Amino acid sequence: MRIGTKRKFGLAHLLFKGISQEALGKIGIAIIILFGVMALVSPFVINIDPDVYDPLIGVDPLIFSSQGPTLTHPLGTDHLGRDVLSQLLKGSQIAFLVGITVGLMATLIGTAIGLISGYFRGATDSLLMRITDIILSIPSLPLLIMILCVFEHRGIWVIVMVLGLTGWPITARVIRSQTLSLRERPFVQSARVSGASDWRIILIHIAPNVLPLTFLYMTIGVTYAILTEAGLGFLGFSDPTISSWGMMLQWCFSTGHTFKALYWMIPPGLSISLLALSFYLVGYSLEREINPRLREP
Amino acid sequence: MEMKKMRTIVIVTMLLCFGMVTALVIPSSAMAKESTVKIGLVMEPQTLNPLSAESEQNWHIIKMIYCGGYIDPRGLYAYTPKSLEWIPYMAESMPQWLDDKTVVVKLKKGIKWHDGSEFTAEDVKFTLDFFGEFEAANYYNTIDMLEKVEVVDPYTIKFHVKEKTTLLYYRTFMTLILQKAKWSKIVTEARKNEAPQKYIFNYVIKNPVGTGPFKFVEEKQGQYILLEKNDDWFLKGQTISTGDGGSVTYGPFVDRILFKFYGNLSSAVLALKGGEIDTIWHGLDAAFIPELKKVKHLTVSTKPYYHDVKFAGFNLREKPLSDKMFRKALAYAIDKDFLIKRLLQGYGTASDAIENPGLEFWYNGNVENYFRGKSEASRYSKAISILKEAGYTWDKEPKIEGSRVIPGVGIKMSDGKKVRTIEIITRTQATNPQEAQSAILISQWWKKLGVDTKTNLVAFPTLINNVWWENKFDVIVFGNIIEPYPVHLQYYFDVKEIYQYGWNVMAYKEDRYQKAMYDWLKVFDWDEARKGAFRLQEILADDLPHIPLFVLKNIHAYNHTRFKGWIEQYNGVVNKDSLSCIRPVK
Amino acid sequence: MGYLVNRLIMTVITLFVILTVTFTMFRLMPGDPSVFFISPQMSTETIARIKAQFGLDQPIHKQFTNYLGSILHGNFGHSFFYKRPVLEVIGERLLNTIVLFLPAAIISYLVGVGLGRYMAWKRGGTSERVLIFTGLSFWTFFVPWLGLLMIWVLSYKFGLFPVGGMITPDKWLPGSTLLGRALDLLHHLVSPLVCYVLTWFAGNMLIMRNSMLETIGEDYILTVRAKGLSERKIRNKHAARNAILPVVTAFSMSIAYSIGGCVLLETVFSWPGIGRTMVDSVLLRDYPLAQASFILIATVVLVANLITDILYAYLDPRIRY
Repeated sequence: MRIGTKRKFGLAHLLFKGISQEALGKIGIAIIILFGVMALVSPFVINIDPDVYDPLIGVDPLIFSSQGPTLTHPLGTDHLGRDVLSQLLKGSQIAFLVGITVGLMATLIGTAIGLISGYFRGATDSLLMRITDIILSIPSLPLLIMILCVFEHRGIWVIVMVLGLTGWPITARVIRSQTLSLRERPFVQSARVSGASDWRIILIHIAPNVLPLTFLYMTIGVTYAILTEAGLGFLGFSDPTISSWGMMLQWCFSTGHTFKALYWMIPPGLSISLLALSFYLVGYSLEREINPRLREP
Repeated sequence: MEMKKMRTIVIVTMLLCFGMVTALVIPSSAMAKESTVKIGLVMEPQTLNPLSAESEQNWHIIKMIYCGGYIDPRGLYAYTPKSLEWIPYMAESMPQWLDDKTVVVKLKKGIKWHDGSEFTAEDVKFTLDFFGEFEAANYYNTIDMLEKVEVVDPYTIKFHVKEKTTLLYYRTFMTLILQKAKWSKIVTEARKNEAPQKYIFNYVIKNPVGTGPFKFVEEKQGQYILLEKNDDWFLKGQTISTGDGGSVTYGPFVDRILFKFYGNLSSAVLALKGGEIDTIWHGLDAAFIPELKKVKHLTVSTKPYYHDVKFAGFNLREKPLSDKMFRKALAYAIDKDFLIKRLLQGYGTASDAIENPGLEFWYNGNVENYFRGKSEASRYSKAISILKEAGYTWDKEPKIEGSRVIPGVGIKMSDGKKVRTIEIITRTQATNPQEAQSAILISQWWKKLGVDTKTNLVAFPTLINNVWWENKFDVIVFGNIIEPYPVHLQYYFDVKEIYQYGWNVMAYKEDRYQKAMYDWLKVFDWDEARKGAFRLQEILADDLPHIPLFVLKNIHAYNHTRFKGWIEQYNGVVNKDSLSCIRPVK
Repeated sequence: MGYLVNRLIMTVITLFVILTVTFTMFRLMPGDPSVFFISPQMSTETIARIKAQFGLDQPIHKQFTNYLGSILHGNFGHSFFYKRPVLEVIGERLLNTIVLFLPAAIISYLVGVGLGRYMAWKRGGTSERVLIFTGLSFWTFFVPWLGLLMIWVLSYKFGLFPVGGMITPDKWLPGSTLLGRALDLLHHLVSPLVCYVLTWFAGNMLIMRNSMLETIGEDYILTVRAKGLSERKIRNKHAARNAILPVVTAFSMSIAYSIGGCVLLETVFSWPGIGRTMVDSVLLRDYPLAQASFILIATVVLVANLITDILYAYLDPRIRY
């Protein structure tokens, strides 16, 4: 238990150091905070007047088509007279929800598989790794489209589940190779000699040591989730009853406003790209902390 | 060393790649400078086989080659370009009834197929027999009233019918006709095949032969289809009265038609603006109008109406939707003006009856309109009072406070049972944005009445499967195809169409309607038929198996600096007659 | 030799898994594809007969063996929507995708490796920081949005490139020259290709950089340096040669993901490729076409993986066959 707590502190320390020392990491955190604030502000904006600012059914009673920015609609309105800013804010909530849930799910599954595979080796390892290889070599977006078509009711949770259940292979591979090297270290060997069970060794001695790496791959997983959900939305395979950024772009594209309503087309695309970037930047800074060779001299 | 090797490998692969594609097509003889109308299509065609083509975009191509098409019916008879009266097309004169079960049609002489052979009564008989034998899906309704077809001489056909109804005129006499010489070989092969229908449906027509104004030249899959003018077209040089005082002279006066496929409307519109194509044969979204109007070489036409009426149809098999009063309350909650103003950006017209308001002769504008255009508060208070009167109660009753509606919760039927969740099923956003968004909005409006409603956006085959085949649905938002003659008043609402795969999916069976409708089918006089159709629309508006929503305006734009003489019709300015009549601007 | 045989067996197993998964997925999808052949007015017996002709009434295991058997014979069946043999529909589209994907992947690889090598050598400079930030920004760019922005600027504002599509039919009609056609194709290829390269070069760049940094730290590079070889030679010959291996591995691993991304690229640029065909046919429930598109996309990935594996074996002195 003692080791565990120490490691936790180590992770927090590492995170803090990794991110604060790197300019890119700071930028990343700043963007995440910005979108976090947007997500938190969303309900207040809607509550100004739900009839007008509800992202899905609220419309400005005086506006009947997509119109440019005004004081009441800082980012203009879509073709139904709905507020783009309010949709964008709501979209921020959805992006965090999808990104973080999928990121967590994928890393948890990936880490578990990686740990098991690397620790037990042998047949378990080959089987798990072959499965990983197979999933890795199937083109992900077409596969997701195919899976999503099995569900006619495509709620956002179905998408989250599908993304989470398919997004783990790279994490699994990395954690496995880390585990392979960890299990030969003296402190693991001594634990084994002292009669600790396999699961105990995995959970208490190895898992804390792969945590930084897990965290790194989680940030990458979040990036993947945000971009993929948006891509599915853009192709029309996401949940049509919520205003996610991908759906916003799809509405703009499918109603023919792409090149005439830049105030509508730019914000969702920019948000998707920026939020994806921010998580990646954090991961990138972290990677340099974990792997000192990459640091500048 | 390795880096260099890599580089060489890479360069060689890339060169090979480009070489492969460019060498695929061998250039042929030079083409003189001729006038070519370039038409953008959004979807590429499925097939050139008229038996299995379904998409409207596909039919745009086929109907230029054949006499007519499944969606633009022309055959022995056709409609006049503007007033939509029924006139002989490949027939020479009006049908002659020998008695109530026998009718004779005479054909025009000298009509030629594209291969030079003559069009005769044998082709007509062959086509109808063929539809009967193979139960061809799209054409099944053209033959089910026929007993027998008889060739009297090469230009005279005798039809033996089961009953004398107008369906014969507007179905059988307007069907597409195939060339016996070409198709009898296919039929012989199909009969030998163990799966004859499959053989016919999947038969790939590489070189279609029709009697239409344009002949097929070549196809490059996924990219383009090229047609050239048919100088032997039977209407070439003829002037026809449009029925509204004007007249048109048929060409074709352009040498070629080039159909190009874009995959999405936005790209096609950009190409139109840039002059890459002359027009787009697809209804444009209202959002494009302002930018298209700014382009000097384009004319934007928005006057005519599109031919399908969007509606919300109910499954009348179960409570509470089987309750007329419940349906009426739901109708009051729908804000059609909202849909028109916002969803269609004003480029549409509300429809109160199941008919296209653009077809003024047939549209009955005086039916019950459920407070269309009145304030939200007045519509909802009416809806609430109807529901109360019919014995419905709520956990929390909806209320009107000033001009606002305070939504209700948990509506219950008069027997105290909770109304279950009502599901609105429709096509996906990507397939049909207007239907999908209407459905989402309607569900929000119904929720305010305390009716728990959700939308289910599905792929088209799923929709057909759930609604038409399994009848497992509550409400469907869809578009009814409206032909110039209102035959849909029969097949959508006929009690005979209530079976597993039938058209009357709502299971609508009011006696007064059925009786009025069968009387109407026997009326051949247009003014009498109009009165009958008005009465039918009135009954439907009262019974509400469907709530009609709106029709879209068919927005088309074309390059007026290249071609002139376009004809505005009920289905838009880009149509078969236009393309047969336009001339290059010199 | 053993290495390659191993890879080959793995590829075959993967292909089998893909075939099974595809079959299962499409059977699980709701909706009945015989909607394309049946009219509501037909009698129930007729409908049953037609369904039988399309093999839709057989038990599932029978359908599966039929499916595997015919795919092994190269027969993907008839498209429900296009009403012709599936291979006829997608043959050309697969080629179209490869025409876009292959040069794009190779260019993004070359650009990435080149920049990565440069960055590792100029460690700590401003140019490195700028490159990292630019690279990462493009790496996480939302591809359809970047595509739309490119169309807006390059095609809409300046009219430099076509708005989409693969060819201008006018330039391909009978009578056009081979050169004219080639130039037309290239003209259409530029925008999607640049879009792809922009979003993909950074991955290769960063891996190459990291791998170079690790290599530079190795003893043998120090030895070489002590020998007094020029920096350029050390960089290009000794360091890069070893550093390239992880890039090839990562490249191989990313092929699947990036070909998947072609679906988005093809949609935005109206490129008549196989990715878009798959999306459209899935929406239409055209099982045979969607199935075949997916299988062919997956096969392209497997073949590409196999090729990179062979390349890897050829580049890595430790693996000999």
